[in-house]
Amino acid sequence: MTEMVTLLGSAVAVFLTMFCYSAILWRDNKLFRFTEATFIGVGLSYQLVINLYTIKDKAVVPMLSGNFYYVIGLAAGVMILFRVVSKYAWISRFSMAFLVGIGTGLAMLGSAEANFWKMLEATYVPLIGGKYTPLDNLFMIVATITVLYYFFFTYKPKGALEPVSKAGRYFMVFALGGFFGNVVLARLTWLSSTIGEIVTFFMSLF
Amino acid sequence: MSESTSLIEKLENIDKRVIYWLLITFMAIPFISPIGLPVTIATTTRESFNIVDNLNEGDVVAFNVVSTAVWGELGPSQVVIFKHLLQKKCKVVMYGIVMDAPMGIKLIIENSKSFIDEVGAEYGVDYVNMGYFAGMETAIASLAVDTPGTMKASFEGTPISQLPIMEGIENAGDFALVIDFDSEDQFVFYARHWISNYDVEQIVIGTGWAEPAIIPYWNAGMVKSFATGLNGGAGWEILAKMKGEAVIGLDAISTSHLFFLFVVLFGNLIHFIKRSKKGGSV
Repeated sequence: MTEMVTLLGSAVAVFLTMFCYSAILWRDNKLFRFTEATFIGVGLSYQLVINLYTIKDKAVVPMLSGNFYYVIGLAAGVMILFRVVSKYAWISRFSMAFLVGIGTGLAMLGSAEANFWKMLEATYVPLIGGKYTPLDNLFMIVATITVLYYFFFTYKPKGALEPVSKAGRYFMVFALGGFFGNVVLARLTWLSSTIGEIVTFFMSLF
Repeated sequence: MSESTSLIEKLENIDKRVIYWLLITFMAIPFISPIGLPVTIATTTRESFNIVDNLNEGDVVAFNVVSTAVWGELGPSQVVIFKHLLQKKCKVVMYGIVMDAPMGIKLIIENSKSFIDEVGAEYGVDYVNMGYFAGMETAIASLAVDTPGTMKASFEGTPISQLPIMEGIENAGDFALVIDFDSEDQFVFYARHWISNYDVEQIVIGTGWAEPAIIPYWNAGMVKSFATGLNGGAGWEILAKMKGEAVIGLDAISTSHLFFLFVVLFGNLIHFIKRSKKGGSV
């Protein structure tokens, strides 16, 4: 019985995946639209259930067991919902302000060290030595200086400084190119994974 | 119009769906019959492997899972690293700050079922699913300061007082290592709240596109090491001698790259043939 359920689950997953690809490999069709709607519906309902359970476990249960201060969090959550009613949308601002305040405060807490000092330290590299080759170190120093200079907007770069700014722009283009290449590779990995699922499923039938 | 010109034009205007079909066919081959193309193991993957391999028996590891949306890329890594940790007799506390984390953890455990039985690991003692924590950075910060106050119960609802694995865990400093499986930049949250304040070691197993963002933190020492993409997973599988989905998947990636290389070269060849026939620029 369990095997049958697993097989059925795999079959549903495989066929829905194939319906998804059908729009690209063939053309837009009803099976693709059905899959699209199913995916959105299932995804949203899963998130709704998880969220409701989280609220129940993390706020409602502790509140009912005597920790009444949890009501503040629940009330703040309910206040956010007023955002959908334009007349009372202002009520949601209190919760939003609270959230932004906490978020900023938390981010600031470790940022000075994690995002500033340590990063600054990491750019002070010796030309020879460290974990990179001298060429890599030189590249990093030049790239850091030129990119920083590109974002120096007080004076328009002119004359001898113009190529410095331009070099900064090219370094950023190289970095974005590398980033894009990684994104393509990741997408191909996902494609290969789904193809693997399909092939493995059909091979398991024979 | 000569016959060769018409063929060139046909090839130039080939329906892109033909290329998609060819790509899929090429990618399917390794799943039908694994080719076993060589896998280059990155230095950082080797370093990450060594960090896990040097953990002591009984060390508690924070295992932050990634969304199932990137299962294809990081699923095999999560499975092999989980197995590696169990093999080293470490305690694995699994959780996530993405909503589908509980589902991801379930998948990891299901995919490691036979291995769990083989090493005799016990749920709640050697590994546990602590589920999802809402709030992103707030959750990571809260876990760092007051772990039992944040992780009150396992995903199934067992209070942590009844979970032997959580004994003695008070804050982030009680974890020997945090392994962050990441498709975005959660490792920055760990850098700010776990590494800066508790000096915990962090390794990041990220998606391919996360790598450019990880490197500055690795340079700065807030990430001890990292392994990215399916290549990272395949490298780990080879080093741990547990060949699995990543190695086979990497074969498919390599064949797809060979296909792309062929398409690019072929496209350029057609372009130059056409140019030479027109006697100059196209």
